[in-house]
Formats: sequence, C-alpha cells, structure tokens
Amino acid sequence: MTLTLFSAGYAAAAFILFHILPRRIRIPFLCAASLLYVYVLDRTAFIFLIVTIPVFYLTGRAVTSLKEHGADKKAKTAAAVCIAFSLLILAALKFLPFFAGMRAEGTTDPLITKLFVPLGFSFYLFQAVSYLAEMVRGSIGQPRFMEFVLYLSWFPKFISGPIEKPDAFIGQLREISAAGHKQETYYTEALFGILYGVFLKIVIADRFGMYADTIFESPQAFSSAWILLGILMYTLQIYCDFAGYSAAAVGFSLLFGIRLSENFRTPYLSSNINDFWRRWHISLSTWLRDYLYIPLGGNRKGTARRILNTMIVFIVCGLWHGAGAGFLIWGILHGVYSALDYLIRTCPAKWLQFLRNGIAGRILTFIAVSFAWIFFRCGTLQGSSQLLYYLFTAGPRWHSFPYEMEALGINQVEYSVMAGLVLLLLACDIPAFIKDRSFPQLLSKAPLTVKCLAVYLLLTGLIILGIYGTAYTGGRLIYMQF
Amino acid sequence: MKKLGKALIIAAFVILFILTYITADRLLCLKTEKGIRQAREIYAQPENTIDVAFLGTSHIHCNVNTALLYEGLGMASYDYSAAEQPLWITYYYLQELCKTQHPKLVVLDVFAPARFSEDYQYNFLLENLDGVRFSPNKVRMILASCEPGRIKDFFPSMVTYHDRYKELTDEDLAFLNMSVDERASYKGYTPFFEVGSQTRPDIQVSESGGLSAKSEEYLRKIMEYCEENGIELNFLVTPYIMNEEQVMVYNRIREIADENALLFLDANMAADEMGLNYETDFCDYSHLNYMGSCKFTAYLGNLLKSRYDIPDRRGQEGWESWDRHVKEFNAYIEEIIRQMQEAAGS
Repeated sequence: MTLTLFSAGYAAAAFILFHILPRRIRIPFLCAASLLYVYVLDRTAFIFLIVTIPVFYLTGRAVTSLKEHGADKKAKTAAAVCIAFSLLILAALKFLPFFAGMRAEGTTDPLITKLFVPLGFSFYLFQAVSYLAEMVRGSIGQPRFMEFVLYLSWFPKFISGPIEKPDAFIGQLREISAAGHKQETYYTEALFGILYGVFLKIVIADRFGMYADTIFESPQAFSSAWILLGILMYTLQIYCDFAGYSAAAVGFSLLFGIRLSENFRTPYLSSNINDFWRRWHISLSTWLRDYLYIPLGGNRKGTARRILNTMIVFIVCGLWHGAGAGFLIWGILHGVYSALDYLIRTCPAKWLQFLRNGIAGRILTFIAVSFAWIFFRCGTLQGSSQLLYYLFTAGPRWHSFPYEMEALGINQVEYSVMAGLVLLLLACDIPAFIKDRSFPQLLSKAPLTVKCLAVYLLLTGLIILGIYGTAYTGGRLIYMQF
Repeated sequence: MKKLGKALIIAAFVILFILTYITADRLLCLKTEKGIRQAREIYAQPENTIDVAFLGTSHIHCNVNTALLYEGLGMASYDYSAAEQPLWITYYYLQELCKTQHPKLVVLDVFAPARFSEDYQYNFLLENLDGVRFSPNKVRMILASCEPGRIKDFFPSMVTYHDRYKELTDEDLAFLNMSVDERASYKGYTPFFEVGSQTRPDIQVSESGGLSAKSEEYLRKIMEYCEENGIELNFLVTPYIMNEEQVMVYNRIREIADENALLFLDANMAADEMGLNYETDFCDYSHLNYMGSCKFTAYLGNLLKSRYDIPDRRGQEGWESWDRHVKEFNAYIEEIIRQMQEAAGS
C-alpha cells in the first residue's frame, strides 16, 4: 500500500470494521477491503487482478486434480504454461515500451510506448508463480478461493510486496478466523512498525532523495566530493524508502494478526555480498533462489555452473527492475560480486577472508553495493557514464563545497540534521543487527519508558523533520515503479 | 499499582508530546505581517475593546493607520485583514472577531471581489489561514476556501511551516517569550515606505456587474451577520489605481449597499479632498505608502467619527494597549526616518 493519509485512514477504517464484524466473515471482509483498495488506487491494476486471479486459481485446481489422477507431467505442464504466459506478459509490459521508444526516437512515440506494468503486477505475479510452483511440488494444499484472493491482493503488501510464500500466508488466514486468536498481542509491534517505517520513508528517504536527485540529474554542476555524497545519499534513500515501506506494510498487516515476512535485516551492516543478499529485499532473493537458481541447478553442478547460475539470477533480478542498461549492469555487477565472494570464500589462501569478514568486509561490501547503485539509479549507460566521469574528473573542489551545498538548498542546520539522521539510523540498525530482530520488534519488547520515548521521538521527528507539505513534491515509493 | 504506574508514564509522555507540539508550533509558525500576525494578535487584544474593526485585504493593513486613529480621534480600531482576502474568509474572520470583541462598526474593504473572480484563491491563502486558531469556525473557513484535494496543503497549519527549523531567526525566538501585553500593542497596521509614482485614473463607468456569485453570497452573509449582532457595517474602497471592470463591480456592490441602506465609501472620489498626491503618496498601483496612508486615515477617521457614535477611548482604563501602540509606532516611525536620512546622507 502507499504511505499516504488516504491509505492510513483506509487501514484504520478496515481495522475498526475487522474487530466489529463476526470472526466467520473476517476473510471475506478482508478480501473485499483489499480489492476495493486496489480499485480505488488504480483501476487498471484492479482489472488485471480480477482477470488473473481466477486464471491462476483455476490452474492451481487443475494441477491438484491432475496430480490426484497421477498425471504429474501434465500438472507440471499446465503450471509451466500458465507461468510462462504470465511472465511473457510481464516481460512484454516491461520491455516492449522501452525498445519501441528507442526505435521511435526522434519520431512520434508509437502507442506501444504507452504500455505500462499495472501497479503491483510484478509482485503479485511472483506470488502466483510461487503458488503454482508449490502446488506442483505438493508442498501446499488447495486453498479456498477467498484465501487465494487475499493471498494475491492483501492490501498492506499490494504494490511492493513482500513477496509472500503461500503456505506461511494462507496458514495465518485460517488462524485469524479461529476463536481465541488474539491479534492484540501484535498491536505494539504493529504501531512501531508503522511509525518507524513512515519515519524512515518520510524523514530520511525523501530528504536524502531530494538532494540525490539534484546531483544525479546534473553531476556536471558538482565537485567529486558532492557527487560522492550524492551516491551515498541515494544509497541511504533506497534503503530507507524500501525498508520503511516494508516495515510499515508489516505493521499494518499485524493490526489484523497477519505477519508478513521481514524484507530487510540491516543489509548495510553485511560483511560480504552473500550476507547482503540474505538481508536485502529478502522475499525477492528468496523467490529467485527457490524458483530460478535451484531449478537451474543451484550449486550442485560444479563451480562454473554455480557461477553461471548466479549470473543468470542477478541478470534476471536486474532486468526485473527495469529495461534500461543501468539495471542490467547493476545485476551483472552483483553477479560478479557474488562470484568473487564465492571464490574468496573457497580460496585456500585464508588470509583473504578478511575481505569478507569484520570491519573490512563491511566497508568493502558497502562500497561495492553503493557503486552498483549508481547504475541502478541512473538507469541508462549514458547517465551512469556521465556521473562516473564527473565523479573521477571534477576533483574535490573543497573551496566550493559550501557554495555547492548552498546551491543544493542545504544550510548548516540541515547538514547537521542529515548527519544526525545517519547516526540515528546506525543507532537503530546496530542493535537490530546484534539481536537479529527488526527494530520495531526490539522496541515492542522494550520497557514501557523506552517505548513511550520512542513513540514521542518518532512522532516529533515525523512532524518537524518530515518531508511533506506544498514545498515538496514527489514522495513516491521507489519500488512502486517495479 | 503497576497499572497505575504504567498509566502515569503514558500520561507523562502524552503531556510531554503536547507541550513539545505547542512549543514547536510557536517557534516555527510564520510571523509575516501580510495577515498572519494580524490574525494571531487579535487573540491578545483585551476583550471588548475594539470599537472599529477594519476587515478585508492588504488595502486595510497597509492603508489604515490605527495609531493615527487613536492618537488623533481616540478611536480604538484594529486592522483585521490579510493579503488578497476573499469575502468568504472575511465572513469567518468576522465571526472569529466576535468571539472576543463586540465592535460598534465594521468597515469592509471590497477590493477582493472586484479584483478576483475565481471561487478559490490560493496565492495568499496561507497568510489568511495560519494566524487563525483551530476551531469549528476555522474548519468552515478552510472548507469554504479550499478545494477538497488541496485541504491537506493547508491544514493543519504545521504542514505549512514545520520545516522552518532550518531558518529560525531572532524574531522566532523572541516570539516564544513575547508577553500578552507586548502582543496586544500590535493593531495590524503595517505601512510601506517606498514611493512609486502613479497616474491618476479617470474612469467613468455607470454599468454594474461582474460580482461573482460566491462573493455576493458571502457579502450578503456578512451583512446579515452584522445586522443580527447589532454591528454597523459600511463598505470601503481605499485609494488605488483601479480599472473599468473593477469599477463595475463596485457599482454592483454600491447597489447592494443602497438596497440595505449601508454606506458605500469610494475614497478614490475624495482624493483631492484628502490631499492625495499620486506622485508621492503611493507605494505601488495597489497600496498607499506611509504618507498616503496618513492622509487617507485622517480623512476616513473624521468621516467615520461624524457618521457613527464611536467613543473616544483616550485615557480610559482598559485601553492602555492603544496607548502603547501609539508610543511604539511613533518610535518605529522615528527610527525609519532616521535610517532614511542616514541612507540619503551617505
């Protein structure tokens, strides 16, 4: 769901009705609420949803039926055809407009360039693929239709995930309708998830994003020092934007007693790239591992094949984000990083292990990830090249540092605020890393005084430091576009 | 006891949050004198001391010298106006004023309906809304002034100035500690000192029209409200460089005034009588400067004094804030003159 007043109000209304209505109609109510939310948000997405839900569900039923009759091969084929067709539609919607636009450069854009991926489509499509794959594997039973509708359309995670596994999600739906289920136990964690998530997004992500956008759009106007800071700002922006959204989605979902999977586990404190991908956009990396990497052979067919499979996965990951060369390069870079990490890990020279452990490992991983974000943010080879050119040739120009800062609209107070927010982020992520729990989970277990202080600081910070109001534009979620 | 302890901790933080919000609001709020300060300081005025309230646009707070009115005529007046204030906001301003005041006379500047015909005006909406305290009246004001999709841009007020922590000045800090007395001595008048030579218009238009339906609706509401509450009302056009379309609107408003036996005063007709010099007494085409405002105010004050029973409050107990206002304003003018002389000398 989007992080807007409308969405918050909608969630609040749904929450109240959820608790007033009898338990037996909770699932139908949540189905209706989720579909209505999608309809209000984006009618094209709604149409796609109501057309694709029956197709996926009926395919799942067909798979079940075929397996029951011993036709496993036909069951696999049915699932494969449905999956392939859906992924083909996704690929067409993502890539056709891009290539048609390239060919039509300098002429009137053809209609095909107007195609777009409906809101949330790529996320719930991956969930549908997960559902069909697990049906073929026999690891889940046939869900009821409404459970399946809710699995795809559940409004707190609609738009940008997390990409849930069907068994974990649907199992919870049966619990919330059961007598004796006490979702009140989750309320504190829900509150902190929502507050913390919105804080990450509106105070940190949107703030750094404003300045990063200016630097990325006009790198020629800045010194290397500011371009480097711009890259770091984007690195923080994309993390706080997506992690904030995910934390809020988990929080909103917990209000109804449904626990979504954690999508981020302090990824910038990772000691190596392998660790990073166990902490960043966990639901996507898990999906890619389970439904692409392992079916390709995973790590069971030797080093060369392992590295090839890894490259394929990361290229697909890059292209899933977008059609531009920047995303492809980003994916290739992470594939190379992963291959290198594996080689170092398995290298007989143990002294090299410092590169993937401890402080050195963390610094190297952070630098590698930040570097790759350049291509992701620029999206195109031209944009990335231009930024890198100025990064390495403009020079630090320390004498003009304050003037460029002024040109960005950053005064001493704002600079201090930004530095303070980076320290705050570290102060939240380090204990979460040590305890291997999300920060909202840590807060929900803290003493009452600490909880109250956290709410006070988060609310005050949101009100005063938040990037909202007529002076600011944008505030979109970065991952909404994927 | 454990539950009580928890409840106390929660209550303490709720109070802390409320205090923080109030302090942050006072510190960060806008303090411009295009309407915000005029609206805010009305709450600091001693109750039932304003005898004449001037309502409307910047034509009021730039042109009506409240210090001169009190010093010369003992008239306790207040410029309760804001930049480009449309009549629908003025209607709610009037109701806001009457929560703590009961003026004998309301003088309504009608420049806004003549100059603007749109049903929603956003240019200076911030200046019109931010100084008014939250209340059901303010909610109605916002609903009348904003299209639904834009309400979140202006409400709550904190939305409009929450990020001023980056640009706080000594004035912001001083405002935190300003006493009620200090705030009460402000009466809304904020003159310009620039000189912008103008050409006197010569417009002869007898037709009437062009008054928007929404403006007329709220004009009549203001008239009705004043009648119900025993407040005298008249309409005013301050001296400025008008055009034919605006004169037509004034003709229409004059018709409405005549229908209801209300005075419609177009001060442009009395420019000679007040000794207005179009080369030296204007700041720009729309506003008089300090010199012009003194001439205009003297003319207006004498006219109002002759037509309405407005008490002379000089020396009366309870009206000390006007004495302070005159003293502070005269000191301010002396300082301005000194600075101008220094600038001219150098």
